[in-house]
Amino acid sequence: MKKMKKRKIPKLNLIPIMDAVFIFIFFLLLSAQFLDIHEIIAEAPAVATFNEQINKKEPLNLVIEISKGEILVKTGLDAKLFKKIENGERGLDQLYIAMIDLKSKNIEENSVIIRPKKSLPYTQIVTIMEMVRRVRTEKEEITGTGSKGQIIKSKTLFDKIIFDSVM
Amino acid sequence: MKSLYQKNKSMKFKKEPLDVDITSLLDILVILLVFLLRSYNATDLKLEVAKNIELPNSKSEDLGSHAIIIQLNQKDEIYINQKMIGTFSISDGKILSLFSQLITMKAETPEAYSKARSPAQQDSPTPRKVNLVFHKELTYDKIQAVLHTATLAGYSKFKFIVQGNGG
Repeated sequence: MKKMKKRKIPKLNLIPIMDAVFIFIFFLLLSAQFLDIHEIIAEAPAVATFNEQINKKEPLNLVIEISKGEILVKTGLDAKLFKKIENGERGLDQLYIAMIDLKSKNIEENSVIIRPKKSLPYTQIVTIMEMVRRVRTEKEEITGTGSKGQIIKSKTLFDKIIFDSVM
Repeated sequence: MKSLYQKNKSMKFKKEPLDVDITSLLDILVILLVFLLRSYNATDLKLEVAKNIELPNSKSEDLGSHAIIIQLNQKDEIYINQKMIGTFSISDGKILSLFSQLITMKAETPEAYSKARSPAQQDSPTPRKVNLVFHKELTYDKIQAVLHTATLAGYSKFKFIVQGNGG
């Protein structure tokens, strides 16, 4: 039988890798922000005048009035009541369904005016802003017909939030 | 008579390189690296949340960006860019301390803004933005007062800072 020779396994030189990892760790430690911060963009109301009517279709003019007990969804220039929803967890689902319904009928519209009552807590306003901005999951998509008859697909609902901030 | 030390010294030992077992150290470094990479936030917004502020949770995925930071905490203290400027009090329809500070900051920054924008954009001024950090239990009347004051000072784009679900 042949004698098997013991082959020595060469040792890896880990020093350069360790140096790089150390530098990387220091960089990450210094730039780390342990609070996971995100933003929701909104705008102040702006007034604009048009000399001629661009679109024959009446604008959606979506307004959401929020109080502690209920959420009122109004549409149109005459602020017609579209839906009255109870403010609560179930109400939020209903609001989301109403937003999807409105978006599919008005696929090119993207703005919503939010009008909360003065006593409403900020956290509830944020929750409602979430509901009206975009679809809940990546897979969801809303399809509608544009003004020129073309099919438009969208993952956003009404992401241009305007606050009724005038006191 | 030779001492024991001298005897030892005279004896010839083969010097072998000392092997340090760094496996456990490497384990720790890898764990630290993974943790830091997970918590790494690519935003250019550096925010130190003021005392007595708890951010509302949100599913928003938009990363924050640099702009003036206005904070209002539970004790009605107002901060601009991490510096306390006064407490919440409305006179003449606006928060005077906040208004004067925003006007001062607006006067200090036009050059920086015009340099940052391309010549094509300089004719159409971009709306000035503010990052808004509010305690989650604040009521809308206070938020509305801040929004109204910021709008009067010429800042019409609001970015509500919220906490992501991961943080």
